[in-house]
Amino acid sequence: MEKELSFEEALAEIEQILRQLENKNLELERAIELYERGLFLIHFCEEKLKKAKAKVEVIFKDEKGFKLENLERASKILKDGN
Amino acid sequence: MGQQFEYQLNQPIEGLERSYFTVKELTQRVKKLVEEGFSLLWVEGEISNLRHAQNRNLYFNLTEEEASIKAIIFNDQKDREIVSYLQNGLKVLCWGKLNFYPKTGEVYLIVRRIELLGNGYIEFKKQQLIKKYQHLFAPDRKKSIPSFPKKIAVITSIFSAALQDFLKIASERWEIEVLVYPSRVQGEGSEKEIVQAIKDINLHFYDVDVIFITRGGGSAEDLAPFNTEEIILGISESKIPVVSAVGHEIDYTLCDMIADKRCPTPSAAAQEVIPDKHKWLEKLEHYKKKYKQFLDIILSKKQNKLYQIQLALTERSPFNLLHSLEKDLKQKFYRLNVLLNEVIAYKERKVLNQKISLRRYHPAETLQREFDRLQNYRRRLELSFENYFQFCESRMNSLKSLLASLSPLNILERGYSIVRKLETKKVVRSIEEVQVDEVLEVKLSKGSLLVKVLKTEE
Repeated sequence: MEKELSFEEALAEIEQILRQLENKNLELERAIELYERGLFLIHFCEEKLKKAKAKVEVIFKDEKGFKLENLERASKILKDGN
Repeated sequence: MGQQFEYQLNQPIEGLERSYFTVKELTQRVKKLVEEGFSLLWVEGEISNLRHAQNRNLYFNLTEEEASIKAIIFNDQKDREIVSYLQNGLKVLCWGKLNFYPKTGEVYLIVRRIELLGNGYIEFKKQQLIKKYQHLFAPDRKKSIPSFPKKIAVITSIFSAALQDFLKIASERWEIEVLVYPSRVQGEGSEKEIVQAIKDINLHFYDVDVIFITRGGGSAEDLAPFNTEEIILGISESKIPVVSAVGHEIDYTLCDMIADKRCPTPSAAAQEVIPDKHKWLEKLEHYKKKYKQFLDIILSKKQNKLYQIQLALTERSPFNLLHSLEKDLKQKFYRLNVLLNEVIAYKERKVLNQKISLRRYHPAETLQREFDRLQNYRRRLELSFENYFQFCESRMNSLKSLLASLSPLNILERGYSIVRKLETKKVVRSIEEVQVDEVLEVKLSKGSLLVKVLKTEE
């Protein structure tokens, strides 16, 4: 199985397919093949977008290095003066 | 003079000897008072009525609310760098000496040194730094911001409204990892924390796609850390693109200017840099429509081609040829018929004419005609004879009756008689023809007499 496609890669392919479909003299079989692939990619992107959400973490630095905390805990830690 | 020049206010002036200054004396006295009364001094005020004179001296008023004093910076005393930043409304601290000009009775502050205060100073410092690091501000040094960042870092105060505003926009917008690097964003030394944060992110979180430095608006003093040399160097050294959203919408900090992208507010930064999934869902919908549209075009084109071929095929069908030949044949047949009929009619007419003229020359016809003529002549001849006989007969009859009427016998019948000589039978019409005793024949109606002439009488 091919590796998980990124949104950007999918989008690039969607746009490339669009450019190809612009050619009115395309073979019908090829056009349909591209159309189906394009719809598949659009669907893939839509699914990805629907789930899209930001993940927020806070960087803490100490002598040992860096660690990440979620925002709520980080606020608490900072408020309590470490 | 040299007496008492000054009077008490409550002292009546009438009746007193009047001692007075001349203007020159007074101005000299004032000049002395002013110029000796004040040594070199510092004066703080706001610049107004600033003008560059033709003699290249700089004139302005130093004002504070309603109070004002005139000031001059002589051309040779000018600190050119600062002078170019001077403008009306700017707060300055001037060092110089007061001078009284007797000619106009005006006091001037002769400025030897001028320092900028407040915003003016900040602006001046900013301009100096921009000049110093001009090459770092060049537009072609700016790194491009990736269109689809996956991981971003935000350097700001964790309790700031700026961070809240930023996260509010960012959270539902895109599949993205946001790392918040807490840092002071105002107060002395905060620029060092910010620069350290940039360095740390570059070194330890190198998969970060964009660094945001943000805080809300504030006073010029609040924003001072963002107008420092450290900030310029720190941001310009970052390998990761930096977006700055610091300060006011109109005032640009050096941080804004050196950053690869500047946004007016934290929210705007999130909106402009982080892609919007709703917008992209719409765009995908648009792509879908476009796909359909293009496919439809291709399909209709193929359909059209098919139709064209069908048309061409129909055109070239053998039946078509057959139909056309048949049609042609029918037409020719019809025309032939018409022509034939015309020819036949023509010939018929000709034959008829010839028949008619032939009949005229038929011998029987001639014979008959001649016979008719002969008959005619005969009739006419017969008729002529008849007529002639009749004519003759009628003439004879008429002559007969005329003869009858003229016959002497008839006259005799009525009693007349004819006398004729006996020998010659000549009718005697006169006495001279006869002689006495001559015998004459008298013819009567019935019989005749022989008579002798006895006498002649006239």
